[in-house]
Amino acid sequence: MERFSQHRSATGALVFLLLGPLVWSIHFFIIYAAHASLCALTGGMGTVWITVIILAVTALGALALVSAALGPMPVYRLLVRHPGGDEETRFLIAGMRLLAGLSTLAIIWGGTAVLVLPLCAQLR
Amino acid sequence: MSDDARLDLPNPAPRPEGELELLEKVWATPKGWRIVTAVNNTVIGVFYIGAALTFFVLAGILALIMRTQLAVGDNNFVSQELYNQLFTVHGTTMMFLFAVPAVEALGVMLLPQMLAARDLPFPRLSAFAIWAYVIGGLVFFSTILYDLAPNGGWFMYPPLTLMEYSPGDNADFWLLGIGFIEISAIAGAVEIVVGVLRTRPPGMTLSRMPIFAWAMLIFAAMIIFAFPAVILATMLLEIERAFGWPFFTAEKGGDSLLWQHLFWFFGHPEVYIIFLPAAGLVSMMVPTFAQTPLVGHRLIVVALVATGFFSFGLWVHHMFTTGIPALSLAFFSAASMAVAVPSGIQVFSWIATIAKGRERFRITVPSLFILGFLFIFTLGGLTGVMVALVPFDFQAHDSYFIVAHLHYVLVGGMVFPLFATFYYWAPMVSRKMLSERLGRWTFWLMFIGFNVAFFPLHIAGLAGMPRRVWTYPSNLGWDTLNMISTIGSFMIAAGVLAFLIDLAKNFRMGSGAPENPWGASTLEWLPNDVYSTRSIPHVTSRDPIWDNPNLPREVEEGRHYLPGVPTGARETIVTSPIDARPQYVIQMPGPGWMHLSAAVFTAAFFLLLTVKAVTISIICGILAIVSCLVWAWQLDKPSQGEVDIGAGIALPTYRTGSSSHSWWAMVVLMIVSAALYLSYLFSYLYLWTVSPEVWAPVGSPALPALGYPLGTAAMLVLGAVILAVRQRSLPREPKRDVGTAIAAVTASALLIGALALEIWGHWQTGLRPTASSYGAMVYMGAVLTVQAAVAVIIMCFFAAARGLTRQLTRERRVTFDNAAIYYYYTVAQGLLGLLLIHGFPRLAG
Repeated sequence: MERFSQHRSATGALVFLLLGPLVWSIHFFIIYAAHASLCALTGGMGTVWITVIILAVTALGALALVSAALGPMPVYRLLVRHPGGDEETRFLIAGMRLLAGLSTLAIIWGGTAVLVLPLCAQLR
Repeated sequence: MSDDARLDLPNPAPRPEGELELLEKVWATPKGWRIVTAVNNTVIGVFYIGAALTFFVLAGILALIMRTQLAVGDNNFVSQELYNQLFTVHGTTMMFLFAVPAVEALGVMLLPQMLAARDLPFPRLSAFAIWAYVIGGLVFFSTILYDLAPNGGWFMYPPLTLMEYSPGDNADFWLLGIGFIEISAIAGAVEIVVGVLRTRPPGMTLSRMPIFAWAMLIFAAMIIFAFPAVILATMLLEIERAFGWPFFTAEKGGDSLLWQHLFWFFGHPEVYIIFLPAAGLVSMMVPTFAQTPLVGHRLIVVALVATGFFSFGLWVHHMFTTGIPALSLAFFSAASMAVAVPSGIQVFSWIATIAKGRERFRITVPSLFILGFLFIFTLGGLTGVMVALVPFDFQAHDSYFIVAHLHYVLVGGMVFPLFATFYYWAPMVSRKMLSERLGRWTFWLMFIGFNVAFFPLHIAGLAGMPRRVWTYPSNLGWDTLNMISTIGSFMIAAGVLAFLIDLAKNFRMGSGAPENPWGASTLEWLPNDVYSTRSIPHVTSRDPIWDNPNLPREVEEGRHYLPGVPTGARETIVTSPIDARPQYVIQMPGPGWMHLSAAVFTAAFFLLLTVKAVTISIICGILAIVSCLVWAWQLDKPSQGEVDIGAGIALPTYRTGSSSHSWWAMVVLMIVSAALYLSYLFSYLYLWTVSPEVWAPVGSPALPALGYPLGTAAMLVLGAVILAVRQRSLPREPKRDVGTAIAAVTASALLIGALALEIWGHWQTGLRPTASSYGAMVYMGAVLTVQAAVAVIIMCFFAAARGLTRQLTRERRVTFDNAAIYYYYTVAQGLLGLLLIHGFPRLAG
């Protein structure tokens, strides 16, 4: 019997596992950077583009993660370059799904703020 | 029993005569005063924890002085000026000199044992880190004794900390003083990332890795991304104080809020850097006391990872009252609430494990501290969710409510698990266990004392008492609450004293304590000596000792991997990151003087700069570099062919290229450098949004002609090409390698020329770094690339010297590869800088 499982890409496995938090990080960066810079550049007046960007990135991020969580194997095979089916694969997929779930929650939580607050006001 | 357990053991018994004696001899620690040259992780780990505990006690004494001052209103036990120094040094010492080093120390001490590695992958690096920290930390702390301590709060906000309002050396002690802490932390992070991902025992796949290893991996990754922001911030503030470059001065286009962004981008992950390892330790101890595997192991891994990532999206919650638009605040408010979810997952997992225990959960001193942690940390988490709500924080910010909250999460979340750790893992390094009786006194005094000290402060804060006040009027109704708090603080002190008495009576370094007294399942409880375990086990589950009760005997008999020292020197097995397949054997260095010398001179360099003794500081800096070079010269031992580790597996003893541990360390260093440069990029763009009126071409001299950046870029690229070509044509056999020396010198000269051209280009336009924040930022970009260039030029010359002394070939090429990849990084950073500095103003203007 085999002492060790078949080789898999370490970088690919870590990226696969961390898909959720990585997408959350990109989402967070875009919404904060877009909001802060567009408010600064419009002198605090704001622009509809703030809403468009935030909602679009939120929807895309959530959709990407839900898709990956529902159908992980194509992404797994692409990134990890391993056929799957072993204990480690199950661990990585379960971890990816749970992290994707938490990250989707955080993405929606953050992004939907644009629907309830004015664009550039301080509110103090 | 799993299929894997029916595998034959890797090595036969009995073992050859003399094998064990050689193992002991090779791993022996220096005796007597030469112990300061030791590099064994258990020795360094104990020193590290001892130092951290010392700083905890020292900072605690400062807290007692503050609580005495605040016990009654209108008090003058200490002056206002001294009080400002007290709370600054208390906070700075607790955060930088106690909390982070303590968890790092536990990583150094416990991780190799948990991973059945003989040591961390770069043993002298940890030793360097601890000595720099001890020397620098003691000198920093001593400033409180002669009125030189920093006094701007542990977070040191400008403009209070600019020269105008803080003219003495006090602030510089903070800024330069924590420089060596930052170096220590990053050195530790390199060790831990490479150690956790590459030196696990064969068969310990990621899914079988102990939770503490996960926690430390995430801790290290967070340090890599968070610390560079505060490193940049301290550089900017020190440069403004010393040379007048106006990064934070509004009148010249700077912004003091830039400091807050940079500091808290580090500062918020910092508290999770402190908490996550403690949570990891709790996850190791709870299953032992419940005598059942951890419930929700995967969930806890996920929770640790999620906490690590989300913590980078919280920093503005320290800045809710600064006038940032509400929608931005909402992003951080949402993230601050989101981060509570993974913390809650961990808490419920621990509770479920306790409930599921095969026997009743054992109440011992460590488990008491764990229960205390659960209670206190959960309360702190609840008040954390409260202050995550922006309107509530508008009221609570800078009040004692926040003081109460932060102590509940930090003391509850880190100090209590730390004390549990002391009692639980003492038998690994001490001949005697600590006392159950004294331990219970310690626990109850600390637990009751803590709640008496800090619970009333929630109420004091809601009643309006602000933070960082040296006294308060007696007629505001805060007196009773403060008096109760002071009594509680002295109870905590009594508890700590009981612990110190216990240590003095019972802690004795050495082996001889009961083997695995708690009945734990993980590898650090295998029979251990100076060489760690007699052989490195093949791991087939998460709870190896429970699943194979014969494992301790098998390992001790040398039946598993690498029971001897085939190269005749210190070594351990390197395995693949995910599946832990054995890949090669590292030849590791033993005790030495050079890392100690490097640490002393590094600390001296920073501290002498603080008191403006520039010449001697530079001499110390040069001596630090020389020490590092001599130290590095002793590394990179030649290959000794392949060695048999057992199970028919023969491993090489030298590895180069992208799977080598050395390459991985360089990659980590490059990520740190990139994070530093990205922080600078953020700062540049941020200041542009704040003060576009001082930016070129409108508010400053026009940019240099395009010939300057193009010439700079050409030189950078040419230098990289020269090294890349040389990389493919290193000599096959050891010989006096003049070609590499010429390539190294030429590439270095091109780097120097490129940067000189860039700086001259700006200078000849009349732009000066003191004129405006734009000028300061332009020259700061060059400073950062010069910094990287200095390091890479030293590395190039080092590689050249290796070549000239016949120690560089196509196979034995680590020193050249390390220099080359950092050169390529420096070129990439330089090119990005050119795009930013020369492209952005042309685009935006």
